[in-house]
Formats: sequence, structure tokens, C-alpha cells
Amino acid sequence: MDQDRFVELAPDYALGLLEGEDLEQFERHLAAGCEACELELARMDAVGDALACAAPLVPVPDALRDRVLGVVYTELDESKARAAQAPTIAAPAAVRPGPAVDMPQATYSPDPWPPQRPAVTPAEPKGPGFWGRVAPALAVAGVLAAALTGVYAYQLRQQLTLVRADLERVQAENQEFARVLDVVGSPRLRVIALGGQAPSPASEGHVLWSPESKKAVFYAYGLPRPPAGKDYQLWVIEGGAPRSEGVFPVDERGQATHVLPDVPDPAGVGAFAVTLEPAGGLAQPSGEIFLAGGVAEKVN
Amino acid sequence: MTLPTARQLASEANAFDTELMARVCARDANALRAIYDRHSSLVYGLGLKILRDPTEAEGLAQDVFLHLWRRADLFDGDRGAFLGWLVSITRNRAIDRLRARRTQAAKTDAFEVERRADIAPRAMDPNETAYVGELRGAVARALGELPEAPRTALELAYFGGLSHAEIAQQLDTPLGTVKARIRQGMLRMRDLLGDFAAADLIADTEG
Repeated sequence: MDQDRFVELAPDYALGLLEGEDLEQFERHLAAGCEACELELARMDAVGDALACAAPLVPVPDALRDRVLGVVYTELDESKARAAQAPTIAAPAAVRPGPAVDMPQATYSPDPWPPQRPAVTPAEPKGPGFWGRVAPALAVAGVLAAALTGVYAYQLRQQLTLVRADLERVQAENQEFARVLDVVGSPRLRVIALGGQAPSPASEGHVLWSPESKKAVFYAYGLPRPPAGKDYQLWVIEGGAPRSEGVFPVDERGQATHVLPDVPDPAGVGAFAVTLEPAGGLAQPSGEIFLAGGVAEKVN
Repeated sequence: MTLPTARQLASEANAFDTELMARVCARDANALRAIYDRHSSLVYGLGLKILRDPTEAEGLAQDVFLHLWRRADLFDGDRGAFLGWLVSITRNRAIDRLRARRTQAAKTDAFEVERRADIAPRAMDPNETAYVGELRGAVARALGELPEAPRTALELAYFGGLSHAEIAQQLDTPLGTVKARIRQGMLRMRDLLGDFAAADLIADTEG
């Protein structure tokens, strides 16, 4: 088969329409490192991705999100429980959790990369698979390609993109840190302790409040993870009426930090409270109270 | 002030997806939630288009996202963009389901009943990446330019999970004609999509 004929097979290959002899020859040709076919196939795969976007945009049922995230959070809890039982990996609370040691995956078959194209005739028995057949050739071709083409440069650019993303995150963290320092440096700093309420008595939190800058930082510990579709919301009780200070995320350890940009009138504030509300929060509290504390304790 | 190019949008979306997948690999459930919110419209919509059954499309989308959660380690960002990986997994699994359903229907000697619910489309999904938003527009324009014969053949091939022979049968058209139409359709789409069908969509953004 000549080169032109091979390039002609790329559209069908991208669609998963290639069969039998053609399929085998095309894959062998690709594995031999044909750059022209590789390029054409990349374009055809991009056309395929675009065609996927031709499916109508329809609303996704909310129940699907709840179900998927419900399973995800349940599995996370289970793997943490198992990790906690193993004495060798009982980590102190302050240590960031590393990659999971135990992933529930027994029932799932892996999808290889690149993904196998769907076979056109389901009944046809298959050989040892594309990667099994071409892996040795690819290993050699891969080393040569890396040396000869821009693969290395490509990888460097990928890394650069990641480093930039890291940098942006660090800058965001820095800004948050500056806001915290702004509060903590206050000469009249107040600390308001919040105690765990009926749903989770072991939770606790506190609000560091700078009456001068009218800013505050809220910390929470030991909060149970919110169920799918729910968020914790912080309230300032002013003159008996609750006012939202926004929703906040809870990390894997049940900890949370939340900067309150504006706690207006120190004299009017009676208490702080945390409730569990529908995702995104509400204008008025409706859910159970998890943390609450009054403005009484004065430090400094 | 210039508008971002297809390459910039694709690259930005892919950099963030890749980082999210690294976090999913480290068992960060919030990262999976972000992946879900960014891509559920695409996965569910593609599933619904192929399977033509909302219940099956939901089952498929659940499979796909739990697979991402459980086997995030299988994604290798050095080998290609996240979107292509996700689309391939979704389409392959949807076509598997479709074929299983056809086999089942053939066995029970029943007609294949497709409970196609007419779900009203929405204008946009604000959680989707800007790149997919642009791609939706680009592919709609490109398909609009494509003559009807190759477009129909292409849609049957991509969404129907049918072989060349089956498409020929369905369209009552000679096999050779069908093959040529699909190939021409793909090549024409490649040209009409311009940068959206560039081979180096992700790679060539930093230079």
C-alpha cells in the first residue's frame, strides 16, 4: 500500500470504521512512525471531537450530579476509613493527604490511551490488541522521535503551563494570606469562639475580627463534609437578624478558612453561626445550625 | 484587545483539565466535581444523541464520570488532550451500549424501541469551558456548510455506531458511494473547522 492510500484511511480510522486487513495495515504503518499519517489522524480526531459537540446542548438532570458525587464522596470516605485503620499510614492531621493507597477499581476495566476505537463488527474475534502488537516497535520509535522531533519541547511547554497554573494558585494564596495578616495584626483583635451544635458537637471554630478594618477571618475544624448539593454558609447575627457572609468549602480534613470582607458595625454584631444550606447558599438561613458563638470573649 | 484564538482557548481549558485530573488522581473529590461541572453537558448530550434514551444516557454519564474518578491514573496528558480522551471514552461506551441493545432486540425478535424524549435544548451551559462553547458554534457552522448527502452519512457514522455496510443499507446507497461520502465529509469538515481541526491545537500555544 502506498503512502497516499494510507493517509486516505485516516478519516475512517478516526471514526472507528476501519476493519480487517485495512485496520491492521494502518496500525502497523502508524506504529512504524509515519508522521504524515500521524498528523492527518490528529486532525481527523479533532474533527471527531468537534462532531461530539454537534450533539444538542440539553440540560443535564440534577439528580445525575447528586448520584455521581454521592458515590464519589462515599468512596472517598471508605478509602479514608481503610487508610485510618492501617497503623503505618496514620498521618497527623496537619499533613496533606497524599495519593490514595487503595482505590476501589475492581469492577472497572481500564480504557487505554489512545482509546481503542469501537470495532465495527462486534462479533469478530480480536487479536492481541493494537498496543500489544506494536509496543516493542513504539518503544524504539518513541526514543528516536523524542530525539528527532519536538516531543521534548512539547513536554517542556506542557510543564511550563502547569508551572504557570501553580504560580497563579500561589499568588491567590498569597493574597488570601495578606488579608488574614491584615486582620490578625489588629491591635484590638477579637476572637469569637464558635461551638459545635447538635448535628456535629465535636466541630469547633472561631472568628478573628478586626474592629478597625471591619474585616474578619473565620476558621472551622472537624466539620463533616457537606453532602452533594449542599454548602456551609456563614451568618453574622446583627441586631437579631442573620446576614449572609457567604458559603465556604471544607477541605478533606474538615477544616475551612473563610475571609469575611465586611463585618460592618462591631456594636451591632451579636453572634456568628454556620448552617448547612442548598449549594450556593440562601438569603436567609433554613438548614440545621452546625456552629454558633456569641460576641463576648475579648482578647487583647 | 484581541479575542483569544482557538488554540489559546483549547490550551487553557486543557491545562486546567489536566491539573484537575492530577488532583483527582490524588483523590480530590472537589476536583472531580469541577470536572463534572465542566463536562457533564458534553458527556450527557453526546450519550443522549447516540442512545436516544434519557435513562440510558444518564447511566452512561454516570459510568463515564465514575470511571474518571476511579481510574484517573489512566489519563496521560503527555499523549493528548483531555477533551479527546473524554469524548472517545464517552462515544465508545455509548456505542457499546447501543450495539448491546441492538443485539438484545434482535434476539428477542422485537423492534428496537427508542424512547426518544424530546428534551428542549438550552442556549448555553455557563459551566462549560469557553473552548467547548466556541467549538459548538464552529461545528454547527461547518455542518451547515456541508452538503446534505455527506452530512447524513457522517452523522450516521459518528452517532449511529453503524458500519459502512449498515450505513449503505440504511441509506439504500451503494457501498462505494457511502465510503466516499464519509471520507469527503470528514475532509471537508477538517477544512471548514480551520484551527479547531489543527493537529497541534494544544501543543503549539506557547511559541
